[in-house]
Amino acid sequence: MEGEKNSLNIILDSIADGVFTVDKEWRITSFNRSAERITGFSRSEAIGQYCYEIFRTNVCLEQCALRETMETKQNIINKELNILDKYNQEIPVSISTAVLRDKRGKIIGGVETFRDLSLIKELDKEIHEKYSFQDIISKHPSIISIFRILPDIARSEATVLIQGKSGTGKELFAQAIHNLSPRRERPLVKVNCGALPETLLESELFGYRKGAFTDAKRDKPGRFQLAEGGTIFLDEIGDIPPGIQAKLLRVLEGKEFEPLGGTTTLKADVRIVTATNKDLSKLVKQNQFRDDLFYRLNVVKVELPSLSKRRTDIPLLIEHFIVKFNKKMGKEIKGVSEEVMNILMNYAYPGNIRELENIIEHAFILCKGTHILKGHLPRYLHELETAGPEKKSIQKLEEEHIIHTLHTCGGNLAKAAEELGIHRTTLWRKLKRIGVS
Amino acid sequence: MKIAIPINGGRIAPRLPLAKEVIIVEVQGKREVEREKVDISLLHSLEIPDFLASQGVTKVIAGGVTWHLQEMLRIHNINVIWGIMGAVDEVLDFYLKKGLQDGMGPCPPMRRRRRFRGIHGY
Ligand SMILES: Nc1ncnc2c1ncn2[C@@H]1O[C@H](COP(=O)(O)OP(=O)(O)OP(=O)(O)O)[C@@H](O)[C@H]1O
Ligand SMILES: [Mg+2]
Repeated sequence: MEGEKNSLNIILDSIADGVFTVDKEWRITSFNRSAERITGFSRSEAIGQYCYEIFRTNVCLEQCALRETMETKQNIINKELNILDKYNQEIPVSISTAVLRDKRGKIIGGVETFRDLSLIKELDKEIHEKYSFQDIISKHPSIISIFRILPDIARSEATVLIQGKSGTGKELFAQAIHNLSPRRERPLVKVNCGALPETLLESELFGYRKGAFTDAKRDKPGRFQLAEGGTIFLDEIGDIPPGIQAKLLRVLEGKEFEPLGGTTTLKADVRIVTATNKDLSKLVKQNQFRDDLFYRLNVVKVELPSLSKRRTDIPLLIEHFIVKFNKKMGKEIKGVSEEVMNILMNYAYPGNIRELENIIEHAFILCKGTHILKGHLPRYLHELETAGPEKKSIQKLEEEHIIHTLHTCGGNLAKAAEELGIHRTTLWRKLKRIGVS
Repeated sequence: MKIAIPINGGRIAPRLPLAKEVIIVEVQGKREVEREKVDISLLHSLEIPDFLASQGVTKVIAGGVTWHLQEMLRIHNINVIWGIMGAVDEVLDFYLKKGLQDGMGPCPPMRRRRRFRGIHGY
């Protein structure tokens, strides 16, 4: 018997995974060498202690896997959670559990194995970092392929047309192209062509000479001059009026232009990057955009898909914005609840990534805890039906929160709804679901 | 001085943010003068430091506390002794008589007769 126990210990100690057993009182009865290594507790420190006081996982007591196994007699395999080691560092682990029986089959306790995932998580992080390029986050194949060619695009002098709906990151890509180009030390000058009336836009772009019109008291350089040696980013290029289209074509063909009221032509050593949220080829067909200019601009085209077409990026972007706003606002928000993730994964995003960014920013202002909850989202998202079952724990938390709030508001629905930051009908619906009347 | 101890039944809770209750003990010199049990189950972990500070707590005696939360507590001028295990009364007793150190683990027995604490002894 003693010998048997010894050889079992030798086997357990040679396993790379941590292994421990508990009795029915949750006191640790064995603790192998890997368990010592991963947790930092020695065998003598651990044996006899309650397992939850040694492991201190994020699910101890409430959702303990070992307890579930002991109650249901079902093994649990590869559940991910994190423990605190002796020095209070969080360590991600994957655990598996089984019941422990004596020779007659009577349950005498449980056994749990746990694998240190720190290394794998580190690797994950590295892979994740590959999803980011010049502050642009994506793992969508179409964007990844743009990442691949972006350095080449940047190095060339070719005119770039970036097409994408509002908020898809056009300006971000324009900036990245400039940053990666040999012109990076020179200015990147941005012009929103949709924002100015024709005459103003013309003088903005090309500048004017003193006396070109009554208010022109002295020479004023245009944006092309300011961008000398660098890059000019012409945003909303689809909005430029025909007169300026002709002038722009000249710049593209001859690399020169004339300021308003001037007689001399100026050389323009400027790289042109343009963007539009319209379909330029359609505008050409409708005779609203010159086809010769279109071909000049359309040398290299970068198409940015709408966020609704790359939903797998949503969790990455959420994480990215959380990090960004934590830094900006000095907060320590860790993530979003599953319910919120559900809502955000299913929303249509007419405003694309900018809209997602605004949603997270809005939530940041309201969120006082570690996780962004539904109540922190802008109201227009509250009414969205979420697909798929919500995780019970979060649902339960929400229920508790609602009942608690209702209680503190003396049962006043309107007040409670306001306190919770949800619409009264939503609250009413939730209460019906919970079964409170 | 007010000391907060996150609890699970009669013992120190394994991990602070997961504790449903804390006891807040007022201590004068080496004597406990008052204690109160407070429900913290509805607080987010990041709300805990603020809440404890609002109760006048300046020290926490706990089991597991992530570094992150320790930092938050420190910002609220709350000193943390972490890595303590054991029955609340014994730990408190030990703390008042001999002091506790971070990562000490199971609180050693004091080898003395237990004082009767009345029916609310946790
Ligand atoms: N892939 C991305 N990763 C990280 N942030 C992004 C990404 N795409 C866009 N953003 C952010 O979203 C916001 C909107 O992006 P940007 O201004 O580049 O869009 P746009 O296409 O120029 O929009 P508009 O057409 O309205 O001018 C910015 O704050 C930007 O930093
Ligand atoms: Mg833009």
